[in-house]
Amino acid sequence: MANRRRGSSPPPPGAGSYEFEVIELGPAVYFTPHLPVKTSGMLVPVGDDTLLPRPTPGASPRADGAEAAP
Amino acid sequence: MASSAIHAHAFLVCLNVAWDGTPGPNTSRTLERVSYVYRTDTPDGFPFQTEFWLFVRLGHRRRQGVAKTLYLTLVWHDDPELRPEAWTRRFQDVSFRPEVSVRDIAARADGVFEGPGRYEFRLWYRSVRKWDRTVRRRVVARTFIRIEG
Repeated sequence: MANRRRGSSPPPPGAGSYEFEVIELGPAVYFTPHLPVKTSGMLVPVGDDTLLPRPTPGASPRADGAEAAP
Repeated sequence: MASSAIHAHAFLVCLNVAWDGTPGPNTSRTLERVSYVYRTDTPDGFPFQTEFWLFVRLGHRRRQGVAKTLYLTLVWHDDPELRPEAWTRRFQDVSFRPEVSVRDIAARADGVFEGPGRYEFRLWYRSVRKWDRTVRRRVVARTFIRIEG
């Protein structure tokens, strides 16, 4: 088998099945002290408000009902 | 350079992992709200504590099995104090057998982001170099996000 060059994409995995695990991240083994937490909350993806809504099955492709050009 | 025993084919940060039906190995998952840029829901709220998810797909190509303990390190690249890492946490013990060559892991995590900027999640395992017994971190995957205030 030819040697892989550094930085090349990883090879395909071998033949076989796969498994899926859902886990909780484990405890810290190292951390740097930080300032006390100021707030807790959720992250919000930036740009979500500019995305077009996902089309629903059976819905007209255009809001005004006009047929799209072929 | 010796090839790594484990390869990551995908490594993503997202905010939720949902599934349809009964959770199990044969139920497909959906990664929700995958993005590169996130903002906090509280302006000027740093240090900000929040929950998120990490998804990684690992592959293994060798005929014999392999078992590794994976660790996750968070690096804040815009840290004004230039600290090398924010924290390192134990991720998961993974083992590959010839009949299982791909493993998907979805990990729920909570963490503190100390300020706005670029963050790197680095997945790695300990590797001992044979000729001088030096312990090194062999990086399996990296992924980046940017957090705005």
